[in-house]
Amino acid sequence: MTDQLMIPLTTASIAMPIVAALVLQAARSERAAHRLNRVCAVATSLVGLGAGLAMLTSGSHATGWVITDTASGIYVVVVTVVALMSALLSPAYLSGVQGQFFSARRSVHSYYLMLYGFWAALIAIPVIANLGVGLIVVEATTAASSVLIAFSGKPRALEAGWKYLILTTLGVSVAFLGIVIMFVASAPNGGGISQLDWSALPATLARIPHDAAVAAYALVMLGLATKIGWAPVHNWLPDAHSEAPAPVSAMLSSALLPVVMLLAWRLRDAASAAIGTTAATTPLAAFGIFSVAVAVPFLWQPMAWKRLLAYHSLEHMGIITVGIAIASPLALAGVVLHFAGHALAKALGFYAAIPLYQVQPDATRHSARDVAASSPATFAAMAVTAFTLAGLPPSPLFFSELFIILGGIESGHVLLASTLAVLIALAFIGLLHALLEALQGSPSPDHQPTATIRTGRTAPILMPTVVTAIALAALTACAWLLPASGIVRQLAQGIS
Amino acid sequence: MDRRRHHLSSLIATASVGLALAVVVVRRRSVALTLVTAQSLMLAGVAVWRTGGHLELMTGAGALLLRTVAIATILGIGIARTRETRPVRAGIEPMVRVVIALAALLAIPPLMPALGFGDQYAQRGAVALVVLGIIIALTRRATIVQILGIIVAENGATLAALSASDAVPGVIELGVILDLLLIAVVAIAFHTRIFGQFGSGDSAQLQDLHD
Repeated sequence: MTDQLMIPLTTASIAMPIVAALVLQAARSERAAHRLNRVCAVATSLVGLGAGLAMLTSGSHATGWVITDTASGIYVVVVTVVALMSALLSPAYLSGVQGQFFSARRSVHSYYLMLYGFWAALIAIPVIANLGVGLIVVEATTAASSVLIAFSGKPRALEAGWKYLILTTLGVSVAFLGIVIMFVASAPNGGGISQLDWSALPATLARIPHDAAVAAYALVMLGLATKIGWAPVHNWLPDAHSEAPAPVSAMLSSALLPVVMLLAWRLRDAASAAIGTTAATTPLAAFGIFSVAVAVPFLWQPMAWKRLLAYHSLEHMGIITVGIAIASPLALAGVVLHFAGHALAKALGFYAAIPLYQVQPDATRHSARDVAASSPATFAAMAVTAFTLAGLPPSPLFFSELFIILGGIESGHVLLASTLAVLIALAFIGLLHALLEALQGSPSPDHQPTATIRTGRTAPILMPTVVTAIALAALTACAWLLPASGIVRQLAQGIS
Repeated sequence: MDRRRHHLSSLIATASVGLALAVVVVRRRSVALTLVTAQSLMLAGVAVWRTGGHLELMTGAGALLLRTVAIATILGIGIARTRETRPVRAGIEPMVRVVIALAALLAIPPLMPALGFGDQYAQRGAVALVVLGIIIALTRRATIVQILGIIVAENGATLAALSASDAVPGVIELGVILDLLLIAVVAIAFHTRIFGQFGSGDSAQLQDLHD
């Protein structure tokens, strides 16, 4: 596809959610807003999927402010799928909660305004051709998503939203200092915004004194780390993911974290020549391994379902980061597979919380019990999520973790790969222990299900479960094709 | 000329850091807001002065000035609408906060390598402001003061940008300014909700989430 077609299509994929957000404000009632939301979500995702698939099939283009390549195509497709599911499941969430952050009269309208605004930013980040502009959009996601996290207006949601707002904004401030250093050091008398285009960044960094380039790189990486939620700057992550509305938690975990990680990935590729591969890659490897290590002890504890999934985000972002750090073709195949599989399974897990909390309101704070008996459809969704995230074969995450570990060994990163393997094994055992107890264990003496399941309440989770299970099976079936595919070949050549 | 410029640069960096250090200590939110506004106005004034009257360079400087006024107004209204019965106590005593801040200032900025600024005062001042912004946000409990911590940190990047004439493109300057305005609006909405919920803008009341 030519640039003349790719740029309008990419622009449309970002503009559509913004248009949808504005159109939804015209809905005369909450019911009308929900109906309109369905139409807007499908229309927006059709454009997004079209753009994403076009990026995947038409090679690398960088024109003006847009970069479209294999990486952006993968991210746009996955973000669109997750955002579509989140938008479609939002009415089910909103029917059971009275948002208090906004005025009651406009609560649902405000929710959709923020949700679609967030969607637009998530599509924009992978296709923006410039690091500086990308960071500005990352900062903008904070405004929309922090309000969504605190949507219920409950004290715990306010706490989670506030922590997220303060910590991630501070992080991005640190990253901006890194950006200013890049500008000032590379062209003290002004060199234009294009200096930070992904295609120009290697030359820009090469012009800077080595120490300054390393410092600027480290500052930007540290800033991105707070937004990705890499340990040890992850404090906001478990709180935000557990307290946000379930559809928003899915977008935070399955879309926002990996999308910001794409900036770190592009930056690493761009900086490797100027500051050296070791200096560029070591922070990624360290953040990745440390994130998995920090997550492991929490995966051994029985805890509230969404909080457990949040710690899982920490673990899986760590695994993906190690894969990016290794960067061999096999490891990159693992990264792609892990990103897609994790996004689908994790999103389903968060959606399962909608019927779960209707059946067991105290599961917001405690581990869920006896779900199989009280809500079979919810149990099925949680089981698909749990067994996928645990990396049990034939889960695609089993193959992706295998690819990353084998890729590491094959490319000489034996210590890194074996440490990751040990940590994944520990996480696997702990998670199985906690999840089996949560899914099938007897109710604790103090726990009584507070509501009977009605068909209307369980219905929303059944279809997403079936669709996700089929998609995960398809990913597994494609896994063996991936390492030798053109997608991986292009990623291995570098994405800056 | 160079000597004069360096003298001015050191004066601006020292004054900015001094104002940020004062924010670490003061108890009253309104005083902290006044100090940060003074710091931001000083940087905006330098930006206007640096344009030398060139109209094409005035956009960024004007936006910085506008940002300062807008944020001061937003936070000022926020403070006026949420009167505390008594100042929110910080969890850490003022003297300890000063010691932490001074220790960080003595340790971190000198450790940074030459970042290509050509002006050591601007470099150290910029790093010091980011460090102090983080310290303010993490050691103070009043939500308004935590927001001011973010602004101090962003002023660090602004000071760095001012050290080289038009090195930072206007698009980035405007984007950062708009982002900060958006964040300030959202943060004040949070502050108002927190105050409504707990009767005080004390973030120490938000400590229910932990493992």
